[in-house]
Amino acid sequence: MEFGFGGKAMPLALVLVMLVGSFALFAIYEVVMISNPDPHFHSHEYSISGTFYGEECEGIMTSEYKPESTSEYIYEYKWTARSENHSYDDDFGVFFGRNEMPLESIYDYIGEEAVGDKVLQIWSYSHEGIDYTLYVGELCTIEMVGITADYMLLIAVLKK
Amino acid sequence: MTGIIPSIKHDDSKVSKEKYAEIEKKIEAVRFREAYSSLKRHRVLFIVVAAVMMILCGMYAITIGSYTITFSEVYENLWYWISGTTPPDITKYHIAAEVRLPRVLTALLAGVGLAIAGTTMQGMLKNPLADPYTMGISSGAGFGAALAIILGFEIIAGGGIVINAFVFAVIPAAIILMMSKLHTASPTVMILCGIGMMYLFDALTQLFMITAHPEDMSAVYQWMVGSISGTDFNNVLVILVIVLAGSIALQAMSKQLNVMGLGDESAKSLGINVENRRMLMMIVLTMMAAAIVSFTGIIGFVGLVSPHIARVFVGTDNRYLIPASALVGALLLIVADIISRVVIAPNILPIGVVTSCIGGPLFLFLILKARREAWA
Repeated sequence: MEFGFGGKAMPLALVLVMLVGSFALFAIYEVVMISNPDPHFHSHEYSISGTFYGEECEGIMTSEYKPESTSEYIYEYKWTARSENHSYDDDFGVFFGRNEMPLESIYDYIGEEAVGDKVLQIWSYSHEGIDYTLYVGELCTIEMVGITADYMLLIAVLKK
Repeated sequence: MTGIIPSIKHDDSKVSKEKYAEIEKKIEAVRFREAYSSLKRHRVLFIVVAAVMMILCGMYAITIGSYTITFSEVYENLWYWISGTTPPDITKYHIAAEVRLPRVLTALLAGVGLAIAGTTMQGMLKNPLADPYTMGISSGAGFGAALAIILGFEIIAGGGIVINAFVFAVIPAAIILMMSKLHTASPTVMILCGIGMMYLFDALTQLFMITAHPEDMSAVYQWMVGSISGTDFNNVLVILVIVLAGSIALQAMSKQLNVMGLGDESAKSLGINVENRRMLMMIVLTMMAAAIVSFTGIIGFVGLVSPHIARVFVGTDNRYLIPASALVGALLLIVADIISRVVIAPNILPIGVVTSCIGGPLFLFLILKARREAWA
């Protein structure tokens, strides 16, 4: 019993079955994903306040989930702050492992702190002379970010 | 080809008929040698072109992704990785060197391994539909992964999905080999056993999924549609070692595979222990396919289609077909990875779905176009 290309019916049928199977699997996967969206795939907005070259400043920060890897939760943070005479913007990434904590190979663990009714894990990260202090809550959500450098002292707070 | 060979005029007055026959034989031999070297050049050219395309597509694939990082930043960070220099921006370095590079290397190695497994299976079973999927290897791996995700059952504590998938991927092949020992290791017996195993493990997986929690069900489906974007360098190293060893072993057996293509009786008459050789090949390619599938999930059609595409260009000589289909497999998977990230960017389509979208119609086209001799 050989299925050569000479007899085309059997290979055609089997390939069609495999194709339909693949698409059916994908359709079920999509349905399951839509009905149970992963709570980690979120985007957030933060309001920034603090001082910038000694001047009061305000700004915004946004975080966006980036589906680059299935073994990590990757978020890209972009922020901009403006005072009367100065402005600054920057971006940085935060990578969480499957344990919902930032990767130890990139971020330094400082400790934990109770803020309101939540216990937040504190991590730090430096980038181009700016120190970021990340206050991590549940589901890879960063509740607050401290941004410090010689010329700035800012805090970004998650908008509810 | 014939242009450089002078035509011989028969002149009975000068040379005897025997002499003419001898000269014509020599000319035939020269023509054959020329035809063979031309074919060899074409084969080598195809392999070189496929390798270059694979490298170029791989280099482009590294720059594709949803995280904001420019083309030059990607290569700057890859250079930091190669030279061991401390990068100025660790987050961009992580994306380029620790997320995207392993992803592309996984695509390359998985493509190579699955294509070689498919080529060898099709050759040794003399069946154009044989691949790790139709032989039950992928279904076994899927069942192992489902056990780990839904029931939390681990064959080796801490081994998780990967070890479960690997062990259960090997089980169908082990059963096929045992059945072949009891019966005879004929291609028909092996194929029927494989299809039986595939249906059995698929049914068992579905059975477990009926009772699964929605989150677990989602994870199982995600695994079953395949992904190459969750691997790290440790995973890549394991796949590399197994694929490299398996490829070398199967390439070394390619001449015997050619002889086995003549039929079992002919191969036996030429001194090949067909059953043993077939089992040895089966063990090697099962280990290779199982190692890949356990890390990437089920990626269909690569093992099935790549050998057919390569066969169109290099013919059926397995000494060339194995490396050629390996490169086609790698290229196919890298292109599928690029497509999966571009079509609904910034979201990603599962790579198994993309390979089915490309591979399925391509295979149907080959079936409708090709003649029986194209593969046999």
